Amino acid sequence: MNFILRILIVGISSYYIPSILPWWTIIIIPFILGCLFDDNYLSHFLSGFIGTGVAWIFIILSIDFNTQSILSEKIIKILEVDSVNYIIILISVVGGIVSGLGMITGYTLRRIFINEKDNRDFKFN
Amino acid sequence: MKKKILFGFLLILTGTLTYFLNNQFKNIPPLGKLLNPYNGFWKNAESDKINFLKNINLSNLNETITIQYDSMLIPHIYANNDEDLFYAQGYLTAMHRLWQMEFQIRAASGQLSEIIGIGALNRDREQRRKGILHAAKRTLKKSKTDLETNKLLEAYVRGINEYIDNLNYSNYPIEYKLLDYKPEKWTLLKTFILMESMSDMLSSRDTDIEDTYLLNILGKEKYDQLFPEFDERIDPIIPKGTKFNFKNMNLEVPKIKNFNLLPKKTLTKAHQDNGSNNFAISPDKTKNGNVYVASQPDLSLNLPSIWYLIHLNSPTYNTMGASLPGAPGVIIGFNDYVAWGETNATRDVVDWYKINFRDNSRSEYRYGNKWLKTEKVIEEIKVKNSEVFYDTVIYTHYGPVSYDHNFSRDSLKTNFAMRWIAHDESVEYKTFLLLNKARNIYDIEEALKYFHGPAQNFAYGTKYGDIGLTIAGKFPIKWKEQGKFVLDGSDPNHEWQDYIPYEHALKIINPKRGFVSSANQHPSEKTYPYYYYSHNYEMYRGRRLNDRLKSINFVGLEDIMKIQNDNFSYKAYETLPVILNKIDTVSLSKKELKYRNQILDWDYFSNSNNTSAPIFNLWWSNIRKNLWEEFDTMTYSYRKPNSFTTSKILEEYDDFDFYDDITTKNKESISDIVSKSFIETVDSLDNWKERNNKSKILWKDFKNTRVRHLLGIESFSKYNIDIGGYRNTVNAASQGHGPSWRMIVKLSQYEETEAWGIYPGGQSGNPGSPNYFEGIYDWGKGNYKKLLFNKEPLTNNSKIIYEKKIIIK
Repeated sequence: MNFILRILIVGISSYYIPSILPWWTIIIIPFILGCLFDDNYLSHFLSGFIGTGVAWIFIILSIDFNTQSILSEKIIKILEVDSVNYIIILISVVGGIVSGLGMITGYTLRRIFINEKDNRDFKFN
Repeated sequence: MKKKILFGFLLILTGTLTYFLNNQFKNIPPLGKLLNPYNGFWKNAESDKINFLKNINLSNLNETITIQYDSMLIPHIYANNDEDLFYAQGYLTAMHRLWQMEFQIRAASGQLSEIIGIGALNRDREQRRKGILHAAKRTLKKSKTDLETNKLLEAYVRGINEYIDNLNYSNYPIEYKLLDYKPEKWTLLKTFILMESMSDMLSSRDTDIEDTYLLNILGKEKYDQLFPEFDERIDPIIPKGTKFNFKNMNLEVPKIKNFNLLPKKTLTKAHQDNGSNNFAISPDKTKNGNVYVASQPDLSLNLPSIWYLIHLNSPTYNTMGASLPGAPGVIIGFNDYVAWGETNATRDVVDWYKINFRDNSRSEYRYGNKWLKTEKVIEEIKVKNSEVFYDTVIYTHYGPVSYDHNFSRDSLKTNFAMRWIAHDESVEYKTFLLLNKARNIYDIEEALKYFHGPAQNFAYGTKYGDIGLTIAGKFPIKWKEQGKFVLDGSDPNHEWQDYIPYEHALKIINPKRGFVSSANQHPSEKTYPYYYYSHNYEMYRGRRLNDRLKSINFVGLEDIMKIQNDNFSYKAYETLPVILNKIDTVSLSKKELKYRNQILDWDYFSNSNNTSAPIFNLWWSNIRKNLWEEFDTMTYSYRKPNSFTTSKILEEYDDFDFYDDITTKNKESISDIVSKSFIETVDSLDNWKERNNKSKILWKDFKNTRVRHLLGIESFSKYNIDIGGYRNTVNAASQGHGPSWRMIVKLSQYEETEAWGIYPGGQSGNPGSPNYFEGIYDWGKGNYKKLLFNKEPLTNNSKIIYEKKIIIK
């Protein structure tokens, strides 16, 4: 169950990070979760990835909808991207990867200190 | 151990990835920082005009203040004392225009490379070598002696900094995020650099070196013919026949030297289309006995706009109009009693002095029979993604030695120092702060006394029915042709000896003809007792403007709007009959004849949907290209005769040295050039049609007037604006230049001041604001907005979209 729980925690924390903090602080919560929970690498990575990725998509879509893409349409031309959707997906994937990496980094730290039985791969508990 | 390595690996991987996403590398922007949803560019997008205004947070007020925004997003500040007033002006201007304010200062003082990179290095070096910063520092020192003005300037600076201090990355203007840098503290010095930057734009243009070179090649007679100082057709700002009641001050001409070792390439010049027009009409000439003042500064059309509209109200001030972001007060505007507007008073206030150094250490230079010491300034230019660049600039008592072997690969002996009026200390802001609260012409005259430069033609009118125009600025007294060509820095007689006293400045008050006007033309006839010169007097707009003003009586608001948007091309009116006459119709094909017949019927109005204007303008530029092609063989910087002179030569001479094309064996006649140019024109126009997939060539499409973002970012700019006019029409909208603000003010003894205005852009400089492009469409169409101008805050008014009242107990 803690896979879903972790997604929720990561997602909610990613959603509510105040704009005065730098964006990479999204890494802190997944890192702590990685330290706290016992699971396998893939599961940890995915929970971070999905949690942050989905949260970011939601935030961005709501901003872009509220502002009728007034700025994003101009920025994609600078970045030479064809559509605003691409940018939303791109940045959400980037956020997800950073968050996922943060989580497994935390998990490897946990493994240094707590010696546990080897985890089975590909089973989400 | 394995676990530790894995942890270390992942830690480094995550860290590196995050680092890369947070920092710029070469041209790749920091994607994480720029695109993230918390404080990336998304945060710069605004859903409406009002939300952003809720951030206003003025915490250093002395008394209660009310700020109201109207639907044009113009702030109306009602303060209880002047310091609060200018403090709020600084804050609110920064709120909408911070990035532009900083960028303009960087551009003027040569600090662009630090944020843009090596591409801007040459430009930065040029700016440093013009001594802009040096001049601003002198002016800053001087300004400290005027406590009253200084107090208000400092309040303004405090306001800007209050806004900057409360920023975090999330609400940085978008350009900071794109270029990945931070806003820096505003200083009084920056406000003075802004005035220097205006001087740079408006008074730094000269062709002394080019002309010295041309004089050497062409000889005096030919040079004077190709680049004449006067023409009998001019209609000067001070009307012909005006008597001057002071003596001829023309100085004796000292011995002139000829210089051959000139710099090959000269500094980049300010755009020659920087101009404007303004006029004021007396009550006798208007419909209801009102005074009208109109002003239209033609400058580079940029986003964010060079102007920011503001209404300032305190017990001493109630003034409104266009301000310059970075400068306190209103620059072109009005109050309850008077209105004023400026156009550039073009005059040669930049001269070049040949410097003879004693030896290669360049620590001394010859002056009369003495050696004077130089001062070396090492300019440190930071360059993004590259090493710091150091440039040594040598200063003489004239000014910086802009041209030397450090700068270009010219010979060691090619050293020229720049003497520019803008290098002198001055107090321009005092002028504006006084003008803003002027009540009659005496107040205006008093204010203009302090104005040194960039010299401007101030047209003004008052509630009591007075109108006037003063050419305000500091001008050196010159002997005939002094400084037209390079001067000898070792001869003290070549130096500027004195300045024209303010009492002898050119001005008119309440002239008989019932109006005053200016459009960058000659200031007066030759009868003005002082020698003056510029290579760049406008020869067409001024005449058209005066013709219009003379021809209408009972002038009303509509008439003035029509005049400001007048697209009549005086140039075509004078030139087209001449060249049509010279074309050899026999040599034209059927298609070419069709184009020719079309242009025959033209009424000379370059309206946006006109189809003849493209033919004429392209044809004329081809003729000039083919006629003066000899000039293009020169290896030095040069200039070509202007349109006015070219057309005059074509009209007067059937045979002229330059008619012959030097690349062919035959001797060409003018008819050959005109016909050949026409055939080329038809060819290009047909190509244009094909390329743009259009069956008709409309002037607006062909001309393509644009308002460009200061960084040239395409999606932040507006192209192909539906507007007529061109560089020599009153509505001087060329490609990238034009009326950057149109203002009309009605003053009446019995009624409140009323005003109308429009400019191509929005108050908000944020490309993510719905207001960003706001004025452009109406500006192109010649529409105006009535400006909201009141003595006290409006209550319960539907015209106010947002109000903030800060109560201080």
